[in-house]
Amino acid sequence: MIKLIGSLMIGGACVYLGLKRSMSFRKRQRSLENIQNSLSLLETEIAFRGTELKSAFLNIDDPVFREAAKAIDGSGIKNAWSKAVKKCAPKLCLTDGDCDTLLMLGQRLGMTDTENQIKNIDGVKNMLDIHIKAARYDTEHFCRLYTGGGVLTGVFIVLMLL
Amino acid sequence: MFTINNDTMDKGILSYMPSGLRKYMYSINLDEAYEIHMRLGRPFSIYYSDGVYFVNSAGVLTRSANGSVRITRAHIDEALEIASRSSLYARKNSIAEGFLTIEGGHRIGICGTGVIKDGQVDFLKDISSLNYRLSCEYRGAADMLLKRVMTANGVLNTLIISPPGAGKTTMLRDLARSLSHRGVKVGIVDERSEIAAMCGGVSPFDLGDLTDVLDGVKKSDGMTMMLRSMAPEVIITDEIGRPEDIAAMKTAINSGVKIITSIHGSGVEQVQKRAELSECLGFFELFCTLSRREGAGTVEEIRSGLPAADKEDGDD
Repeated sequence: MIKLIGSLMIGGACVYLGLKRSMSFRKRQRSLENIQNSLSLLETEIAFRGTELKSAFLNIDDPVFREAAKAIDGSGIKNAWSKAVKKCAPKLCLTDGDCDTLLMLGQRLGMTDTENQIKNIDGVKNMLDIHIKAARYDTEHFCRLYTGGGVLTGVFIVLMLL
Repeated sequence: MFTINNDTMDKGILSYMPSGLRKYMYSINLDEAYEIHMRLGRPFSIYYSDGVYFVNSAGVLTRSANGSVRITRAHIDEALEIASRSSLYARKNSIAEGFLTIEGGHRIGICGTGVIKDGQVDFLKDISSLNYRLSCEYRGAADMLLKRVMTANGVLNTLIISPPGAGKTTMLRDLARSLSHRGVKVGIVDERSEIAAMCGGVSPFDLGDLTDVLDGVKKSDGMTMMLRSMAPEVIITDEIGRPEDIAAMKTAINSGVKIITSIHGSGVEQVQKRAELSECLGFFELFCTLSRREGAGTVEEIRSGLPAADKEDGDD
Protein backbone atom coordinates (compact mmCIF):
# COMPACT_ATOMS: atom_id res chain seq x y z
CA MET A 1 0.00 0.00 0.00
CA ILE A 2 2.82 2.37 1.01
CA LYS A 3 4.60 1.48 -2.25
CA LEU A 4 1.46 2.39 -4.21
CA ILE A 5 1.06 5.72 -2.43
CA GLY A 6 4.75 6.52 -2.91
CA SER A 7 4.59 5.63 -6.59
CA LEU A 8 1.49 7.76 -7.10
CA MET A 9 3.13 10.71 -5.28
CA ILE A 10 6.24 10.50 -7.46
CA GLY A 11 4.11 10.09 -10.57
CA GLY A 12 1.93 13.04 -9.50
CA ALA A 13 5.01 15.16 -8.89
CA CYS A 14 6.30 14.40 -12.39
CA VAL A 15 2.94 15.37 -13.93
CA TYR A 16 2.89 18.55 -11.80
CA LEU A 17 6.41 19.55 -12.82
CA GLY A 18 5.64 18.94 -16.50
CA LEU A 19 2.45 21.00 -16.31
CA LYS A 20 4.17 23.75 -14.34
CA ARG A 21 6.94 24.05 -16.91
CA SER A 22 4.37 24.03 -19.68
CA MET A 23 2.34 26.76 -17.95
CA SER A 24 5.45 28.88 -17.50
CA PHE A 25 5.81 29.15 -21.31
CA ARG A 26 2.26 30.46 -21.60
CA LYS A 27 2.71 32.76 -18.64
CA ARG A 28 5.92 34.24 -20.06
CA GLN A 29 4.19 34.96 -23.35
CA ARG A 30 1.21 36.61 -21.61
CA SER A 31 3.47 38.62 -19.29
CA LEU A 32 5.52 39.98 -22.19
CA GLU A 33 2.37 40.87 -24.13
CA ASN A 34 0.96 42.65 -21.06
CA ILE A 35 4.17 44.57 -20.51
CA GLN A 36 4.22 45.62 -24.15
CA ASN A 37 0.63 46.87 -23.90
CA SER A 38 1.49 48.64 -20.67
CA LEU A 39 4.39 50.38 -22.42
CA SER A 40 1.92 51.69 -25.01
CA LEU A 41 -0.19 53.08 -22.17
CA LEU A 42 2.90 54.60 -20.58
CA GLU A 43 3.73 56.21 -23.91
CA THR A 44 0.28 57.79 -24.01
CA GLU A 45 0.56 59.02 -20.43
CA ILE A 46 3.91 60.64 -21.17
CA ALA A 47 3.25 62.01 -24.64
CA PHE A 48 -0.28 63.31 -24.32
CA ARG A 49 -0.86 63.88 -20.63
CA GLY A 50 2.67 64.65 -19.42
CA THR A 51 1.92 62.54 -16.34
CA GLU A 52 4.74 62.06 -13.88
CA LEU A 53 6.18 58.55 -13.90
CA LYS A 54 4.88 57.53 -10.50
CA SER A 55 1.30 58.47 -11.34
CA ALA A 56 1.65 56.95 -14.81
CA PHE A 57 2.90 53.69 -13.30
CA LEU A 58 0.02 53.60 -10.83
CA ASN A 59 -2.44 54.09 -13.68
CA ILE A 60 -1.09 50.98 -15.39
CA ASP A 61 -2.43 47.63 -14.29
CA ASP A 62 0.77 45.61 -14.39
CA PRO A 63 2.74 44.18 -11.44
CA VAL A 64 6.14 45.45 -12.66
CA PHE A 65 4.89 49.03 -12.99
CA ARG A 66 3.04 48.95 -9.68
CA GLU A 67 6.10 47.56 -7.93
CA ALA A 68 8.29 50.28 -9.47
CA ALA A 69 5.80 53.00 -8.43
CA LYS A 70 6.18 51.89 -4.79
CA ALA A 71 9.95 52.39 -4.80
CA ILE A 72 10.31 55.39 -7.12
CA ASP A 73 10.32 58.08 -4.40
CA GLY A 74 12.94 56.46 -2.25
CA SER A 75 15.41 55.12 -4.74
CA GLY A 76 14.89 56.92 -8.07
CA ILE A 77 13.53 55.47 -11.27
CA LYS A 78 16.57 53.45 -12.34
CA ASN A 79 16.82 51.52 -9.08
CA ALA A 80 13.07 51.29 -8.63
CA TRP A 81 12.59 49.82 -12.12
CA SER A 82 15.51 47.46 -11.74
CA LYS A 83 14.24 46.19 -8.37
CA ALA A 84 10.71 45.81 -9.74
CA VAL A 85 11.84 43.82 -12.79
CA LYS A 86 14.03 41.53 -10.69
CA LYS A 87 11.32 41.02 -8.09
CA CYS A 88 8.54 40.29 -10.57
CA ALA A 89 10.58 38.22 -13.05
CA PRO A 90 10.14 34.80 -11.34
CA LYS A 91 6.41 35.40 -10.84
CA LEU A 92 5.96 36.43 -14.47
CA CYS A 93 8.23 33.60 -15.75
CA LEU A 94 10.52 36.09 -17.52
CA THR A 95 13.89 34.90 -18.76
CA ASP A 96 17.21 36.68 -18.18
CA GLY A 97 17.03 37.98 -21.74
CA ASP A 98 13.56 39.45 -21.12
CA CYS A 99 14.82 41.10 -17.94
CA ASP A 100 17.85 42.60 -19.70
CA THR A 101 15.57 44.20 -22.28
CA LEU A 102 13.27 45.59 -19.60
CA LEU A 103 16.22 46.86 -17.57
CA MET A 104 17.33 48.86 -20.61
CA LEU A 105 14.09 50.83 -20.33
CA GLY A 106 15.00 51.97 -16.81
CA GLN A 107 18.35 53.39 -17.94
CA ARG A 108 16.77 56.35 -19.68
CA LEU A 109 13.24 56.41 -18.35
CA GLY A 110 12.07 59.78 -17.07
CA MET A 111 15.29 61.69 -17.42
CA THR A 112 15.00 63.10 -20.95
CA ASP A 113 12.42 65.12 -22.84
CA THR A 114 9.17 63.64 -24.13
CA GLU A 115 10.50 62.95 -27.61
CA ASN A 116 13.38 60.87 -26.27
CA GLN A 117 11.12 59.09 -23.80
CA ILE A 118 8.92 57.94 -26.68
CA LYS A 119 11.97 56.81 -28.66
CA ASN A 120 13.23 54.87 -25.64
CA ILE A 121 9.88 53.19 -25.03
CA ASP A 122 9.41 52.40 -28.73
CA GLY A 123 12.88 50.87 -28.85
CA VAL A 124 12.08 48.59 -25.91
CA LYS A 125 8.68 47.70 -27.40
CA ASN A 126 10.39 46.66 -30.63
CA MET A 127 12.85 44.51 -28.73
CA LEU A 128 10.01 42.99 -26.74
CA ASP A 129 8.40 42.03 -30.07
CA ILE A 130 11.35 39.69 -30.70
CA HIS A 131 11.01 38.20 -27.21
CA ILE A 132 7.25 37.76 -27.68
CA LYS A 133 7.79 35.95 -30.97
CA ALA A 134 10.29 33.65 -29.26
CA ALA A 135 7.87 33.12 -26.37
CA ARG A 136 5.07 32.21 -28.82
CA TYR A 137 7.36 29.77 -30.58
CA ASP A 138 8.29 28.20 -27.22
CA THR A 139 4.62 28.00 -26.22
CA GLU A 140 3.63 26.29 -29.47
CA HIS A 141 6.52 23.84 -29.50
CA PHE A 142 7.28 23.05 -25.88
CA CYS A 143 3.96 23.31 -24.04
CA ARG A 144 2.67 19.96 -25.26
CA LEU A 145 6.13 18.46 -24.99
CA TYR A 146 6.46 19.32 -21.31
CA THR A 147 2.85 18.41 -20.46
CA GLY A 148 3.09 15.09 -22.28
CA GLY A 149 6.61 14.46 -21.03
CA GLY A 150 5.59 15.05 -17.42
CA VAL A 151 2.60 12.75 -17.66
CA LEU A 152 4.52 10.01 -19.49
CA THR A 153 7.45 10.21 -17.08
CA GLY A 154 5.05 10.00 -14.14
CA VAL A 155 3.25 7.00 -15.60
CA PHE A 156 6.55 5.34 -16.47
CA ILE A 157 7.92 5.78 -12.93
CA VAL A 158 4.69 4.47 -11.39
CA LEU A 159 4.79 1.41 -13.65
CA MET A 160 8.44 0.82 -12.88
CA LEU A 161 7.89 1.03 -9.15
CA LEU A 162 4.81 -1.17 -9.03
CA MET B 1 -4.35 76.23 3.02
CA PHE B 2 -1.74 75.53 5.69
CA THR B 3 1.37 77.33 6.74
CA ILE B 4 4.73 75.66 6.80
CA ASN B 5 7.06 76.32 9.70
CA ASN B 6 10.83 76.41 9.70
CA ASP B 7 11.18 72.83 10.92
CA THR B 8 9.23 71.40 8.04
CA MET B 9 11.02 73.73 5.62
CA ASP B 10 14.37 72.30 6.68
CA LYS B 11 13.14 68.77 6.35
CA GLY B 12 11.57 69.62 3.06
CA ILE B 13 14.78 70.85 1.48
CA LEU B 14 16.88 68.01 2.87
CA SER B 15 14.68 65.46 1.18
CA TYR B 16 15.43 67.19 -2.13
CA MET B 17 19.18 66.92 -1.63
CA PRO B 18 21.06 64.09 -3.36
CA SER B 19 21.96 61.34 -0.89
CA GLY B 20 25.68 62.02 -1.43
CA LEU B 21 25.25 65.54 -0.01
CA ARG B 22 22.38 64.97 2.39
CA LYS B 23 24.66 63.06 4.75
CA TYR B 24 26.77 66.20 5.29
CA MET B 25 23.77 68.38 6.02
CA TYR B 26 22.06 66.79 9.00
CA SER B 27 23.86 68.97 11.54
CA ILE B 28 23.68 72.18 9.50
CA ASN B 29 21.15 74.77 10.55
CA LEU B 30 19.36 76.08 7.48
CA ASP B 31 16.99 78.43 9.32
CA GLU B 32 18.84 81.55 8.20
CA ALA B 33 20.07 80.22 4.86
CA TYR B 34 18.54 81.62 1.71
CA GLU B 35 20.40 79.80 -1.06
CA ILE B 36 22.14 76.46 -1.48
CA HIS B 37 24.46 76.28 -4.50
CA MET B 38 25.74 73.28 -6.38
CA ARG B 39 28.23 74.05 -9.12
CA LEU B 40 29.79 71.14 -10.97
CA GLY B 41 33.34 70.50 -9.73
CA ARG B 42 33.07 73.37 -7.25
CA PRO B 43 32.60 73.44 -3.46
CA PHE B 44 29.15 72.83 -2.03
CA SER B 45 28.10 76.25 -0.75
CA ILE B 46 25.31 77.69 1.36
CA TYR B 47 24.46 81.38 1.43
CA TYR B 48 23.48 83.09 4.65
CA SER B 49 22.76 86.76 5.22
CA ASP B 50 26.35 87.23 6.45
CA GLY B 51 27.91 85.61 3.42
CA VAL B 52 28.76 82.31 1.82
CA TYR B 53 29.82 79.19 3.72
CA PHE B 54 31.19 75.93 2.38
CA VAL B 55 30.26 72.47 3.66
CA ASN B 56 33.27 70.33 4.52
CA SER B 57 33.46 66.56 4.62
CA ALA B 58 32.77 66.57 8.37
CA GLY B 59 29.43 68.23 7.71
CA VAL B 60 30.58 71.56 9.15
CA LEU B 61 30.23 75.02 7.61
CA THR B 62 33.52 76.79 6.92
CA ARG B 63 34.54 80.07 5.34
CA SER B 64 37.33 78.36 3.43
CA ALA B 65 36.72 76.23 0.36
CA ASN B 66 39.68 74.00 1.25
CA GLY B 67 38.53 70.54 2.25
CA SER B 68 34.95 71.25 1.27
CA VAL B 69 32.71 68.75 -0.45
CA ARG B 70 32.94 69.02 -4.25
CA ILE B 71 29.89 68.71 -6.47
CA THR B 72 29.96 65.85 -8.96
CA ARG B 73 27.88 65.03 -12.01
CA ALA B 74 26.16 62.28 -9.99
CA HIS B 75 25.06 64.83 -7.35
CA ILE B 76 23.52 67.10 -9.97
CA ASP B 77 21.82 64.24 -11.83
CA GLU B 78 20.36 62.84 -8.63
CA ALA B 79 19.22 66.27 -7.47
CA LEU B 80 17.44 66.80 -10.78
CA GLU B 81 15.85 63.39 -10.60
CA ILE B 82 14.53 64.03 -7.11
CA ALA B 83 13.31 67.53 -7.97
CA SER B 84 11.50 66.38 -11.11
CA ARG B 85 10.20 63.24 -9.37
CA SER B 86 12.01 61.17 -12.01
CA SER B 87 10.00 62.91 -14.73
CA LEU B 88 12.10 65.59 -16.39
CA TYR B 89 9.86 65.45 -19.47
CA ALA B 90 6.88 66.53 -17.34
CA ARG B 91 8.83 69.63 -16.19
CA LYS B 92 10.26 70.47 -19.60
CA ASN B 93 8.69 73.93 -19.85
CA SER B 94 9.82 74.86 -16.40
CA ILE B 95 13.36 73.62 -17.08
CA ALA B 96 13.43 75.58 -20.33
CA GLU B 97 12.61 78.65 -18.20
CA GLY B 98 15.56 77.77 -15.96
CA PHE B 99 13.93 76.64 -12.75
CA LEU B 100 11.98 73.92 -10.98
CA THR B 101 9.56 74.58 -8.16
CA ILE B 102 9.50 72.01 -5.40
CA GLU B 103 7.31 71.39 -2.38
CA GLY B 104 7.46 74.01 0.33
CA GLY B 105 7.67 76.82 -2.21
CA HIS B 106 11.41 76.43 -2.75
CA ARG B 107 12.76 76.93 -6.26
CA ILE B 108 15.74 75.35 -7.92
CA GLY B 109 17.43 77.58 -10.45
CA ILE B 110 19.11 75.62 -13.24
CA CYS B 111 22.06 76.46 -15.47
CA GLY B 112 23.29 74.33 -18.34
CA THR B 113 23.50 74.33 -22.11
CA GLY B 114 20.38 75.51 -23.88
CA VAL B 115 18.80 73.37 -26.60
CA ILE B 116 17.34 75.81 -29.07
CA LYS B 117 14.29 74.89 -31.14
CA ASP B 118 12.48 77.34 -33.42
CA GLY B 119 14.59 80.14 -32.02
CA GLN B 120 13.55 79.48 -28.41
CA VAL B 121 15.06 77.59 -25.51
CA ASP B 122 13.44 74.16 -25.66
CA PHE B 123 15.39 72.41 -22.89
CA LEU B 124 18.56 72.65 -20.84
CA LYS B 125 21.11 69.88 -21.15
CA ASP B 126 24.51 69.29 -19.50
CA ILE B 127 23.26 70.92 -16.32
CA SER B 128 26.20 72.54 -14.55
CA SER B 129 24.70 74.49 -11.66
CA LEU B 130 21.73 74.23 -9.35
CA ASN B 131 20.67 76.99 -7.01
CA TYR B 132 18.17 76.05 -4.30
CA ARG B 133 16.43 79.28 -3.46
CA LEU B 134 14.82 78.70 -0.09
CA SER B 135 11.47 80.33 0.17
CA CYS B 136 10.17 81.75 3.38
CA GLU B 137 7.01 83.29 4.63
CA TYR B 138 7.43 86.42 6.71
CA ARG B 139 4.06 87.44 8.02
CA GLY B 140 4.09 91.17 8.33
CA ALA B 141 6.84 91.72 5.75
CA ALA B 142 4.50 94.04 3.85
CA ASP B 143 2.97 95.84 6.84
CA MET B 144 4.81 99.10 6.15
CA LEU B 145 3.96 99.01 2.45
CA LEU B 146 0.37 97.94 3.05
CA LYS B 147 -0.39 101.19 4.89
CA ARG B 148 0.49 103.07 1.71
CA VAL B 149 -1.05 100.58 -0.74
CA MET B 150 -4.50 100.63 0.88
CA THR B 151 -5.95 104.10 0.84
CA ALA B 152 -9.39 105.52 1.44
CA ASN B 153 -9.88 105.48 -2.32
CA GLY B 154 -8.91 101.85 -2.62
CA VAL B 155 -5.77 99.95 -3.51
CA LEU B 156 -3.04 101.76 -5.46
CA ASN B 157 -1.26 100.36 -8.51
CA THR B 158 2.08 99.47 -6.98
CA LEU B 159 5.49 98.55 -8.38
CA ILE B 160 8.06 96.86 -6.14
CA ILE B 161 11.62 97.42 -7.34
CA SER B 162 14.38 95.23 -6.03
CA PRO B 163 17.56 93.44 -7.00
CA PRO B 164 17.37 89.60 -7.08
CA GLY B 165 17.10 87.97 -3.67
CA ALA B 166 15.97 91.12 -1.86
CA GLY B 167 12.55 89.82 -0.92
CA LYS B 168 10.16 91.12 -3.56
CA THR B 169 8.35 87.80 -3.92
CA THR B 170 7.99 87.49 -0.14
CA MET B 171 6.64 91.04 -0.12
CA LEU B 172 4.12 90.28 -2.89
CA ARG B 173 3.02 87.12 -1.08
CA ASP B 174 2.48 88.99 2.17
CA LEU B 175 0.63 91.77 0.36
CA ALA B 176 -1.70 89.18 -1.19
CA ARG B 177 -2.38 87.64 2.20
CA SER B 178 -2.89 91.01 3.93
CA LEU B 179 -5.17 92.41 1.22
CA SER B 180 -7.18 89.21 1.13
CA HIS B 181 -7.63 89.27 4.91
CA ARG B 182 -8.90 92.84 4.56
CA GLY B 183 -11.64 91.77 2.20
CA VAL B 184 -9.97 92.55 -1.12
CA LYS B 185 -10.47 89.99 -3.86
CA VAL B 186 -6.96 89.15 -5.03
CA GLY B 187 -5.89 87.27 -8.16
CA ILE B 188 -2.29 86.03 -8.32
CA VAL B 189 -0.90 85.34 -11.78
CA ASP B 190 2.07 83.17 -10.93
CA GLU B 191 3.88 82.43 -14.18
CA ARG B 192 6.97 80.94 -12.54
CA SER B 193 5.22 79.42 -9.51
CA GLU B 194 7.18 81.76 -7.27
CA ILE B 195 4.55 83.65 -5.32
CA ALA B 196 2.13 80.89 -4.40
CA ALA B 197 4.42 77.91 -5.20
CA MET B 198 1.37 75.78 -5.98
CA CYS B 199 1.90 72.06 -5.64
CA GLY B 200 -1.00 69.83 -6.62
CA GLY B 201 -3.36 72.81 -6.54
CA VAL B 202 -2.40 73.79 -3.00
CA SER B 203 -0.11 76.59 -1.88
CA PRO B 204 2.11 75.95 1.14
CA PHE B 205 1.63 79.59 2.11
CA ASP B 206 -1.27 81.41 3.70
CA LEU B 207 -2.47 83.64 0.87
CA GLY B 208 -5.78 84.55 2.46
CA ASP B 209 -9.32 83.38 1.91
CA LEU B 210 -10.12 85.68 -1.00
CA THR B 211 -7.13 84.85 -3.19
CA ASP B 212 -7.25 82.97 -6.48
CA VAL B 213 -4.06 81.67 -8.06
CA LEU B 214 -3.46 81.13 -11.77
CA ASP B 215 -0.29 79.09 -11.85
CA GLY B 216 2.16 78.40 -14.68
CA VAL B 217 0.45 80.68 -17.22
CA LYS B 218 2.28 83.48 -19.02
CA LYS B 219 1.69 86.78 -17.24
CA SER B 220 0.29 88.42 -20.36
CA ASP B 221 -2.25 85.63 -20.93
CA GLY B 222 -2.81 85.06 -17.24
CA MET B 223 -3.80 88.64 -16.46
CA THR B 224 -6.44 88.56 -19.20
CA MET B 225 -7.68 85.13 -18.10
CA MET B 226 -7.84 86.21 -14.47
CA LEU B 227 -9.68 89.38 -15.44
CA ARG B 228 -12.32 87.48 -17.41
CA SER B 229 -12.72 84.46 -15.20
CA MET B 230 -12.31 85.57 -11.60
CA ALA B 231 -13.13 89.31 -11.66
CA PRO B 232 -10.44 90.25 -9.13
CA GLU B 233 -10.11 93.68 -7.54
CA VAL B 234 -6.32 93.39 -7.47
CA ILE B 235 -4.01 91.35 -9.68
CA ILE B 236 -0.63 90.47 -8.21
CA THR B 237 2.13 89.24 -10.49
CA ASP B 238 5.90 89.04 -10.47
CA GLU B 239 8.73 90.43 -12.59
CA ILE B 240 7.06 92.26 -15.43
CA GLY B 241 9.12 93.58 -18.33
CA ARG B 242 8.06 92.08 -21.64
CA PRO B 243 6.00 94.28 -23.99
CA GLU B 244 3.08 91.83 -23.88
CA ASP B 245 3.08 91.96 -20.05
CA ILE B 246 2.85 95.74 -20.21
CA ALA B 247 0.01 95.56 -22.75
CA ALA B 248 -1.92 93.09 -20.56
CA MET B 249 -1.29 95.26 -17.51
CA LYS B 250 -2.66 98.28 -19.38
CA THR B 251 -5.80 96.34 -20.30
CA ALA B 252 -6.30 95.27 -16.70
CA ILE B 253 -5.82 98.79 -15.33
CA ASN B 254 -8.18 100.22 -17.93
CA SER B 255 -10.71 97.61 -16.83
CA GLY B 256 -10.63 99.02 -13.31
CA VAL B 257 -8.44 96.36 -11.76
CA LYS B 258 -5.47 97.38 -9.63
CA ILE B 259 -2.05 95.89 -10.32
CA ILE B 260 0.68 95.11 -7.82
CA THR B 261 3.83 93.78 -9.40
CA SER B 262 7.60 93.75 -9.18
CA ILE B 263 10.61 94.39 -11.34
CA HIS B 264 14.35 93.89 -11.04
CA GLY B 265 16.24 97.07 -10.35
CA SER B 266 18.01 99.06 -7.70
CA GLY B 267 15.69 102.04 -7.60
CA VAL B 268 13.06 104.09 -9.42
CA GLU B 269 15.65 106.25 -11.16
CA GLN B 270 17.51 103.24 -12.47
CA VAL B 271 14.31 101.57 -13.73
CA GLN B 272 13.27 104.81 -15.45
CA LYS B 273 16.36 104.54 -17.65
CA ARG B 274 15.01 101.40 -19.25
CA ALA B 275 13.31 102.63 -22.41
CA GLU B 276 10.94 99.67 -22.70
CA LEU B 277 9.46 100.49 -19.27
CA SER B 278 8.91 104.22 -19.78
CA GLU B 279 5.25 103.79 -20.72
CA CYS B 280 4.42 101.25 -18.06
CA LEU B 281 5.91 103.23 -15.16
CA GLY B 282 3.26 105.89 -15.70
CA PHE B 283 0.57 103.35 -14.70
CA PHE B 284 1.82 103.06 -11.16
CA GLU B 285 0.83 105.28 -8.27
CA LEU B 286 3.21 103.82 -5.71
CA PHE B 287 6.83 102.65 -5.95
CA CYS B 288 8.57 100.59 -3.29
CA THR B 289 12.31 99.94 -3.43
CA LEU B 290 13.81 96.97 -1.57
CA SER B 291 17.38 95.99 -0.87
CA ARG B 292 19.41 93.49 1.16
CA ARG B 293 21.14 96.24 3.16
CA GLU B 294 19.76 95.01 6.48
CA GLY B 295 18.78 91.58 5.24
CA ALA B 296 16.29 90.59 2.56
CA GLY B 297 13.19 92.75 2.49
CA THR B 298 14.77 96.00 3.67
CA VAL B 299 12.41 98.77 2.52
CA GLU B 300 14.61 101.56 1.18
CA GLU B 301 11.95 103.85 -0.15
CA ILE B 302 8.21 104.10 -0.70
CA ARG B 303 7.41 106.83 -3.17
CA SER B 304 4.10 108.08 -4.56
CA GLY B 305 4.54 108.84 -8.25
CA LEU B 306 7.67 109.18 -10.35
CA PRO B 307 10.37 111.82 -9.89
CA ALA B 308 8.99 114.86 -11.76
CA ALA B 309 11.82 115.51 -14.22
CA ASP B 310 12.24 111.86 -15.17
CA LYS B 311 8.50 111.45 -15.54
CA GLU B 312 8.47 114.15 -18.17
CA ASP B 313 11.26 112.31 -19.99
CA GLY B 314 9.22 109.13 -19.78
CA ASP B 315 6.13 110.88 -21.16
CA ASP B 316 8.12 112.14 -24.08
